[in-house]
Amino acid sequence: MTMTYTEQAAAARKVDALLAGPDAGTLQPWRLAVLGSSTTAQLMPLVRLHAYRRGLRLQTYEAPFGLYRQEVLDPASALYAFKPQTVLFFVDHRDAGAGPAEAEAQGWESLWALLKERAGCSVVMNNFAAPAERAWGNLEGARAEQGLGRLRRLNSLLAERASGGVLILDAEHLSGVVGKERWHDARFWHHSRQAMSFEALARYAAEAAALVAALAGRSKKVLVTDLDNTLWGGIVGEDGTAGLKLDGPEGEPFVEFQKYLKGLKERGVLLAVASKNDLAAAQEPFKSRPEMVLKLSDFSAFEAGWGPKPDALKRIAAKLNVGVDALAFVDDTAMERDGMRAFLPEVAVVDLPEDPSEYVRTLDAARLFEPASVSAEDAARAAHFAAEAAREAHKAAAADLPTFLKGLGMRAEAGPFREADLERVVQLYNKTNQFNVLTRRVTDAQVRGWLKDPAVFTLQARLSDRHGDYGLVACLTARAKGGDLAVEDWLMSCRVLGRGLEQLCFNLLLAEARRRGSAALVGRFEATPKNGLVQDLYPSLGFSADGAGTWRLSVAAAKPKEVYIDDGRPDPAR
Amino acid sequence: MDAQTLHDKLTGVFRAVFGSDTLTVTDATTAADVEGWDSLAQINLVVGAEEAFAVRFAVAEIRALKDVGGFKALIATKIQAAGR
Repeated sequence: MTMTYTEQAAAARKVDALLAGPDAGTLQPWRLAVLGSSTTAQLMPLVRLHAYRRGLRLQTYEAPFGLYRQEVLDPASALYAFKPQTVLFFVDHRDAGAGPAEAEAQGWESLWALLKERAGCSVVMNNFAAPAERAWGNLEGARAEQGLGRLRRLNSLLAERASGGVLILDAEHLSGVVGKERWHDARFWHHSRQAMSFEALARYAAEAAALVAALAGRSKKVLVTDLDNTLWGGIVGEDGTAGLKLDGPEGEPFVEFQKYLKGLKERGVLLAVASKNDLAAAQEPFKSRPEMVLKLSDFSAFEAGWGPKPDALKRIAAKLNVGVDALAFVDDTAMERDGMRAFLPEVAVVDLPEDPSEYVRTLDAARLFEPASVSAEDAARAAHFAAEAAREAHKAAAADLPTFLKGLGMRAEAGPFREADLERVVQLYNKTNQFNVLTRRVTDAQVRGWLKDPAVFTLQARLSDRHGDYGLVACLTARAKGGDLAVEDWLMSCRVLGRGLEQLCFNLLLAEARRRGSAALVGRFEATPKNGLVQDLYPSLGFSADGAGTWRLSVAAAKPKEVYIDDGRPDPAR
Repeated sequence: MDAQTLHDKLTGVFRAVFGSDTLTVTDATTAADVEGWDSLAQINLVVGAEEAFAVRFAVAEIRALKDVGGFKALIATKIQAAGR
C-alpha cells in the first residue's frame, strides 16, 4: 500500500502528463503557490499527484527557494501575478528564528495577513518539526527561550493564531509518526538543500494535498460503514447477536474502531451503515449488546438489505442531500470494495487490512475528513440529522405542507454578514454544492472586501425549529448595478431544504431592493453537475428569462412570498 | 546479489526516475548519455537506489558518482559489507 518516494515520483510523472491532456477538464481546478526555504522541485509533483487523487487539478507556482519573504512583501512579485487560491509555506526548523517565540509567531502571522489581503487566498503553513538530537538531553524541552522548549512554544502560538483561512500542517506531529531519525536527513540538506528525507517528503506532500483539498471543499462528509467483521467480529446472521465478538483480544479492536468513528461523528462527520443483512438482525446488536459504543442514533442513515451496496450508497447520498463524492466507504470484504470502485468511482474506498487491530490507523491515515476550519456548527451538525428522522416522521403525519411547516415552529435570524459570521460564511461558500446558484468559492479576504463595499448587499440567515438549532445556513449577496439589484451568490445548506427559507431570503432581498429604489432584481444561474436543485429557483420566484442563465423581476410587480418562519419582522405576505 | 540481478534492479531505478520503460544503461553510461540526467535526477537516482537496495550513501560518495559502473560497484560493496 505504502509507495516509496521513487514509485510516487513515477506515478506523479504520469499524472502530470494526464493533467496536461484533454481528460483533465472534469477535475476541479485549483491554483497553489509554494513558498519554500528549501528545494521544492521534488515536492510539487507529489502534491499534484495526491491532489489529483482527491479530484483536484492543481496548477502550481514555485517561488525561487529561499525568497519567500521577498515574494510576499513585493506587491509586484511573480507570486501575486500567479493569483494563487492557496499559498503553501514549505519551511523547516532552520527558519524558526532565534528571538522570543511571541515575536517570531507575530512575524509569520503578518506574512499570512499580507497574503490574505493582497492575494485574497488561503494559507497553509507547516509548523516546525524539531530535530531528533538534543544537546541539552532531556532538559532541552525545559529551555523556555531557546532550543526545543522555544520551538514547542512557537508551534503552539502558530496553532493559536492560525484562523480565518490559515491552516497549520502539523509537521511536528507527522515527524513523530514517521520517526524523527527518518524524517530528518542531514545528508541531502548538505548535498542539495533538501529540508527532509524523501520518505518524509512523500508524507508531507500527501498531508499538504489533504489540506488543500479541504480548503477546496473536497473533504468527505459521510463515512458509510459495513457491519459484519467491520464494526463487530463475526456475522450477525450466522453467529447471532450474542455470538458477536465485542470483547477480549478478538473483540476489542472492533470496539476501538467504533470509538474512532464516534470521535469522527462528534466532530461533524456523518455516519451511515450499508450492510447486507435483514434490517432487524442488523439493528439488534445496537440495541442489546452493551459493549457497542455506537448507537443507532449515531447514524444519519441505515441501509440494510440484500441489494448491491453501490445502490445503497446512492440512497444514502440522496437521503442526506450530499453528492456521492462526499461519501467514504469502509468494508472488510474486498469484493464489496472492488464493486464500489467499479460502480461508484467517486466514493473514497478505504482498504481495511486483515487485522482489525489496524483498522483505526488505516482509516486515519487515509486523511479523508480533514476539516478546513473548526466551527461550532460542525459539531452540532451531526446531531441535527438524528432529529431529521423524527422530522420525517412528523412530515408523514402532517396533512399538507403548510400545516407541516407551521408545526415546525421555525424561527430565523437574518441580517447582513457580521464579523463573527465570517468563518462560517466562508465555510458554507466553500462546501455547498447543491443549493448554490453560481458555486463561487471565496476566501476570508474577499468576503471582508464586500463588507466595506456600499454597493454590495449581504444577507445571512440562521434557522432553528423545535427539533434543534441549525446555525448559519443561508447566504445571499447582491450588487447594485445600473439601477438594478443583481443577485450574485445564493446558497443554502442542504440541511434546511424544503422549509421555505429561500422564500424568506427572497422577501428580505425584495425589501432591500425597495429600500434602494432598484428597478429590478436580476439573478444568474450557472449549472454544475450538482446544482440542478436550483436551476428553476429564479422562475419559481416569479423571475422571467432575460438571456441565457439570466433572470429578471421588476420590483414594482414583485410580491413577497408566504413563509412559515418567524424572523421577528411582520409577515410581508399578509 | 549477483551482477546481473544488480544491473537489472538498477536499470529499474533508472527507468522509474526517467519515466521510460525501455531505457537501457551500460557500465560506461554517464550523465551526458541520458537526456534529463541533471543534478535533480542525480538525487532521485541515489534515493531510488537507497530504496531498492536498502543501502545508504555518504555525501562524498554521491558527489563522486560518475558513471553506472561506478554506481554499481559502490552498491555491491555496501551490500557485501552488510553481509547480504
